[in-house]
Amino acid sequence: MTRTSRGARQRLLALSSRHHIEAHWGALGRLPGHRCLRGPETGMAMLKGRIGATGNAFHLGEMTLTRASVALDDGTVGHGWVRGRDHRHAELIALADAVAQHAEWQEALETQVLAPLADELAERQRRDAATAAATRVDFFTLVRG
Amino acid sequence: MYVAVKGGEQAIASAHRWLADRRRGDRDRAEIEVAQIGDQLRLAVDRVMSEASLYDPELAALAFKQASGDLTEAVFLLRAYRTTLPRLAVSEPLDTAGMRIERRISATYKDIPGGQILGPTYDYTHRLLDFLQLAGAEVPPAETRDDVTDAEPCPQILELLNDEGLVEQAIDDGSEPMDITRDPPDYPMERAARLQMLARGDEGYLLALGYSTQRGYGRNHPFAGEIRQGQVEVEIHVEEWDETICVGEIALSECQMINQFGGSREAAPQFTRGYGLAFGHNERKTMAMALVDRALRAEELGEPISGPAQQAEFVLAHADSVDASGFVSHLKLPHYVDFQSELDLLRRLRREHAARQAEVEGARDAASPKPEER
Amino acid sequence: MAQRERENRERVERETVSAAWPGLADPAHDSQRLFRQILGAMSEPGTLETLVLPAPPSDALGAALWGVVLTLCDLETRVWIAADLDSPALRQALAFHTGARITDDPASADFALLTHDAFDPEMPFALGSDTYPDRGTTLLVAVERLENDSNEARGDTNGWRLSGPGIADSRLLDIGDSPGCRRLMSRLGANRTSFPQGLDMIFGCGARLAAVPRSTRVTRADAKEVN
Repeated sequence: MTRTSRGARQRLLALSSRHHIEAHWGALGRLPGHRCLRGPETGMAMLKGRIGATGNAFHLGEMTLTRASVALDDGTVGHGWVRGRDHRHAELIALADAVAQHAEWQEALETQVLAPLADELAERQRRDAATAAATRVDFFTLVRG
Repeated sequence: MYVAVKGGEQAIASAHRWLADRRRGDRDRAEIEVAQIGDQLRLAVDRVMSEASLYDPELAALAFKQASGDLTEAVFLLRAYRTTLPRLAVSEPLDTAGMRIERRISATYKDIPGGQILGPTYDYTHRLLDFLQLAGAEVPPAETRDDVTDAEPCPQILELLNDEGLVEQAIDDGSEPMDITRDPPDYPMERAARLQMLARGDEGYLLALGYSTQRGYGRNHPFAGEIRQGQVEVEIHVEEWDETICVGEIALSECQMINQFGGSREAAPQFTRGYGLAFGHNERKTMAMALVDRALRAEELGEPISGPAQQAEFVLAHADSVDASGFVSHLKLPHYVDFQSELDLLRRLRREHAARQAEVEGARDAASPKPEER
Repeated sequence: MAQRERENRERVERETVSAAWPGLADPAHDSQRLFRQILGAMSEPGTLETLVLPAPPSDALGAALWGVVLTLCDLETRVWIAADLDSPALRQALAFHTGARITDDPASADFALLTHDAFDPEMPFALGSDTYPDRGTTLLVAVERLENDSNEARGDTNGWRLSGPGIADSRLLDIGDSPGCRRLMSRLGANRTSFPQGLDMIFGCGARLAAVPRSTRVTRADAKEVN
């Protein structure tokens, strides 16, 4: 079984829609109870750009950001952060972070949730790239005389 | 003396109700959903996010709907909402080189690694009204080109010029940028702070200023070196994590302008640069922003300051549509007492003027011989 | 692998801490309520406010000062912690619940956490500037006694008499009479010479707090001016 790293899991779940996560979440079966240690709460992240893309940082503007930290009944803690204002999305990411620390859930999480989500994300990105590629210009050189 | 004026509550309540009624329009037609605005009026949504300085497509669409399509009002609504939120994190600088490209063009090189990708652009449309849309014609899905399995990487084009040293480099010296939402702007202002103000500036205003530089008011001979749009992942650093984490992705537009070269006895001539970056698909805004950014570097680059677009305080202090519309709109507030005092003053001045005139005429009459005495 | 295990162990330790230090149950409303109380304490110097919130595991800090930290600190505030209150647990809890940055430099601190014993008048806290007097450090001081009732009734004169803005006539405040407490109060008395620059202090004792801003005149209860 491949084991998704903690950072990669957070990224995958943040890039997946809540709707998609919930579609696979049920496959985990009955999960231990949990309480929220912090949040879910919505705030903002200040986003930085770079002058000329590679130079000094500057503040571009803010975006909405939601975070949640949960503790399972046995005390295992998990954190989740996601762009936007969806509390449930952040909570699901935090739950996944907590559940992933338990051997008995790891396999189900990997195979039933993360693997299909990774496939969906890859497919979406492939489709986007293929759509963009259709607008790529092929130049013809006109030969005169 | 101040006289408190109260009243009009009923009139205001009725005005709000009429406003809501107008916004809803004909009840026989379906109400516009916020999600439809996000989907089908995405460029308006992007503009609202950019000028409100808050990336949240759903809320920008809501603001647009609530404002009945008045962009300046929508920007105001979203900017006001922004003040209710705590800041939870500051991102790592966004990596536009790692963008998932939707559009990427260069006006300076034809053949570029990764190619010229037009994306969903209006550029080659004929600007003819499309009456099929009036008739509700079906729209075919976008085409795809599946032979491109792995998207060819799209390096930043200006990096190609860097190899020869032909263009000034943008190097990170690690300095922390100021944040105009935390520290009040002070002039002269560092470039990072100027870009922050331009990024939330009104598009029409920046467009006019950018245009003015092209027409000779601070000319700097621009080329669109590269324009790119697409999705960029946002990474933040949080305490409870050992590494930076990705929290999602956002749409961005970026414009790298290449401008006239400077040089001195010590430094060889080089192209200079202007930079534009904005939320969503905001190509025109980023181009204008890059032109104005470059114009505002006049002093740094030792150029004469001859055009309005080169005057930092003038440009930046008037760029924000929330500031501008607020101050213009305040003229609608009751100024009854102010105006009454002006009226009193004006009447007194006129009385004094009339009295002086009468005096002058009286003196003239006394000095000139009366006709019957001739 | 050893690296990963160590990271995991650190993570578990850190998160046990985060779980033990309570945040506000209802952040929006609780922080509004606490803010109103802190504002009341600041605007009526010397009055006692009792903050209701879950107590932190540190008796030395106390619930009231923890409540002040949770209410006033965020991502953009810098906090300096004196050695006698400092612990990895407090640092982690502070970072987790508020996002505040810890600083080793008292001069750059918006808030300083210390006990009365640790106070040294030579500590270079920020006093603000004449243009921005608000940029001074606010000291959050844990004390062992915090009373308004007159000790004079018991025949001692440990208290300090406060007067000035927000105080109708004068108000007695007793924070204890340790050398540290005396140093604190005489430092507050010295605020008048640098006004509008100066230090503001919030004293916490268990769930109770009282504040003495720089605008307050401080004299010994036996009416000798403190200098």
